[in-house]
Amino acid sequence: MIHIEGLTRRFGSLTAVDSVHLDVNDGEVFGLLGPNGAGKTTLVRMLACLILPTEGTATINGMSIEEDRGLIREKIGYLPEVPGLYEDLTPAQNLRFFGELHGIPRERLESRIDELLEEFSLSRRRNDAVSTLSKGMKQKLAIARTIIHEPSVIFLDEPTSGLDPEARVMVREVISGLRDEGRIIFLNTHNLDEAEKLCDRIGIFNGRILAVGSPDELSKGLWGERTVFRLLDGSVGEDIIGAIRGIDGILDVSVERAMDSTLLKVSSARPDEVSPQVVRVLAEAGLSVAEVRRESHTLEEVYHRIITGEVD
Amino acid sequence: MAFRFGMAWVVAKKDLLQFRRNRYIIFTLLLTPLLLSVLMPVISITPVAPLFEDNGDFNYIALHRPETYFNLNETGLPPGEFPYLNRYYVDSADLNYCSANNSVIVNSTVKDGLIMRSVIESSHLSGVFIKDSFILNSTVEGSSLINCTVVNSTLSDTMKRDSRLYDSTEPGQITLTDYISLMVDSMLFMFILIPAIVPTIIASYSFIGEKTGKTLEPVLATPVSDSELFAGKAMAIFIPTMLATLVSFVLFSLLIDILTAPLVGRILLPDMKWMIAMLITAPLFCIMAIELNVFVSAKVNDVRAAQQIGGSVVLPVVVLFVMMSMGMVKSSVFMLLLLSLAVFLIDAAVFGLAMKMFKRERILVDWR
Repeated sequence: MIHIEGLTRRFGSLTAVDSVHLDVNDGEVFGLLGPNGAGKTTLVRMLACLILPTEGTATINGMSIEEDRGLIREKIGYLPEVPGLYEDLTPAQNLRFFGELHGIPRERLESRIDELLEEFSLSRRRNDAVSTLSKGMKQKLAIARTIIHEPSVIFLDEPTSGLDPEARVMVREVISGLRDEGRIIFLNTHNLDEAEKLCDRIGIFNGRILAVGSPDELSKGLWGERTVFRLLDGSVGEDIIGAIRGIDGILDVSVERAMDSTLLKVSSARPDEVSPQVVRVLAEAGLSVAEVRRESHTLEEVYHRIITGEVD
Repeated sequence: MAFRFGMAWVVAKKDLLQFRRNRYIIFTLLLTPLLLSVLMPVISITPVAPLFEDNGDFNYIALHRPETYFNLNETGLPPGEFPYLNRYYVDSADLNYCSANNSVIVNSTVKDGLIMRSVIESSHLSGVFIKDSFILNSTVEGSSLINCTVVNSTLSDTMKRDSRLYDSTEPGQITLTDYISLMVDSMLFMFILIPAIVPTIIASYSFIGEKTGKTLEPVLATPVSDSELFAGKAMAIFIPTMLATLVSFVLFSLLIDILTAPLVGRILLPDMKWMIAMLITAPLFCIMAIELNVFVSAKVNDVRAAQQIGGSVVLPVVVLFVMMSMGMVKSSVFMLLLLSLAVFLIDAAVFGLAMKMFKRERILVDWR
C-alpha cells in the first residue's frame, strides 16, 4: 500500500508538487492524470526514492521514502518517461544488468530473462541491439526490465507516450496483464482513454490532487448521470431551460442542435425522479419528445472541466 | 549503507560491455597509446643512433707508427728553448713549450706546444695544438684538435675539426647514453599523458552517453547506491585506460631496450623512475581525469564539448612535458614522488566534490 501525506516538492520558487494526500491500495491500478508539466513525474520520482520531498512524507508497504530508500528501491519497479534502454546492448544484456543490480542469483536470472523475453514476444530479438527494435518493442522491453525483480509496486511514467496506436495497444495489454498479477500499479498519464481503460482509480492532478475516484465515480459524482431528450421540432427557448433548471435535483442543462432534431442534455444525481418532470415541462411547452436515453459523462469532459477550474 | 564491491562491479561490467560493442571507442582507446609506444622509440632513437655509431674500426697499426723511438729518459730533452721531439717515447714527463712529432707520449703532462702524428695515452694536455694524432684515456683542455681520434677521454674548452670521439665527453656535447636517457625520459611524460587523456574520451561517452540517452534514471531506481554507481563507472574507465597504458609501456620498454641495448650496453627500461611513473603517478592522473569528467558531464550535454573541457586535465602534464623538453625540469624519482603526492592530494580533494555532484537528486534535477 502507498500512503502519501502532505507530500510537497519545491524547486526554488516553483512548487511542482503541492501537499498531496493519497492512499493507493494493494492490487490497485492508480492513474495520475494531468497535463504535461503538472508535476506527475516529480511526484513519482519522490515515491521511487529518486528525489527527496521538501515537505510531507510517504510510505510504501510501511517503508518511509526518506529513511528506507534502499529497501524501497529493492521492492519497486520504476519506468521513467524516457525508457532509457542501453541501445547498444541487446535486450538480454539490458535485462541481465538490471537483474544483477537487483541481486537476482545468476541461474534464476537467466531463466527469468528467458521467461520475460518469451512473455513479451522478444525472444527472437534477444541478441539484436536494442537500437534495431521498434518503439513498441523497446517499450515492452523497458517494462520487462521494470518488473524483472518482481516488484510489488510498479511506477509507470507515461508508458505509452510517443507510441503509435498499434504499439500503444500492445503496451496496454502488457499493463493489464500486470494488473492481473495483483501488484500496485501507479500510472502517470495524460492520456484519458488509457486512464479510463486501465485504471481502477484516477487522480486528476495539476500540482495537487484535484479529484480522486474510479472513472465511473468521477463522472457521476460531479454531474450525476445525464439524460438526453431528443426533440423533433422547434427550438428550446431560454424560458423552458429556466423552467427545467428550476426542477429540484437538476445539476446541469445544455442544448445541442443535431441534424434533424434538438438534443436537450440534463444532468442529475436522481435521473429517475427528475426525467418525468422534465418531460412534463417539455410537453406543456408543446414540444414532442422523440427519444429519452441515459448517457454518462466522458472522462474527457470531467477532466477538462476540473483542469480548467470550471469545477472545484 | 555499506559499499558493496559486487554492485560496483555489475555497473563496471555493463560499461565495459558497452565499450566492447562500441568498437570505435576501443579502437581509439588502444590504438593511440600503442602507436605511441611503437612510434616514439622508432622516431626518437633510430635516426640518431647512426650519429653515434662507429665510423669503422680504427687500429693502432694504421697510425703513423715510427719504426724506432728515442727514449726520452735515456736521451734527455733535445737542446733549445722549444724542444723538438721526433720519434721519441715519452713516459711520465712534464713538457712545456715542446713540439712532438711521430712520438708516443704516456702518463705525461704537456703544457703549450704542438703535437703531430703521435699517440698520447693517459696524459693531461693543455694549450696544445694536436694534429693527425690518437688520444687515449686523457684529458684535453684549451687545445685544438685536427683530424684526431679521441677515445675514452675528456675534452674541455677544446676546438676540434675532422676529429672523432669515442666514449669521450666534452661540455656541451652529451654522450650517447646521456642522449638516449634524455630521450627516454622525455617520453615518460607522454606515458603520463595517456592515462590523463584516454579517460576523457571514455568518460565523455560513459557519463554523457548515459545522460543524453537518459539511461541513468532507471538505474537510479534500483538498489545500487550513489557511491557504488560512481565507483563502477570509474572502474570501467580506469581498467581499460591503465591496461592500455601498461601494455603500451611494456611494448615501449621492449622496443627501447632492443634499439638501445647494443648502443649503451645495458637495459634501460624499466627503471625505478618509470616504475613509479607507471604504477603510481599514471593511475593517480587517471583518477583525476575521471573525477574531472564527472563535473564536466554534469554541465554539458555534448560528447565533443566534454572532451574539449575534460582535456584540460592534461594541461599540467603538458606543461611539465614542455619544461622537461626544454631542460627546465629533470625527471627524477623524487620529482615523480612529489608530483604523485600533489596529484593524490588533488584527487582526494576533488573526490569529495565529485561524489557530491554524483548524487541521485543532483543527477536528476541539476544535470542539464
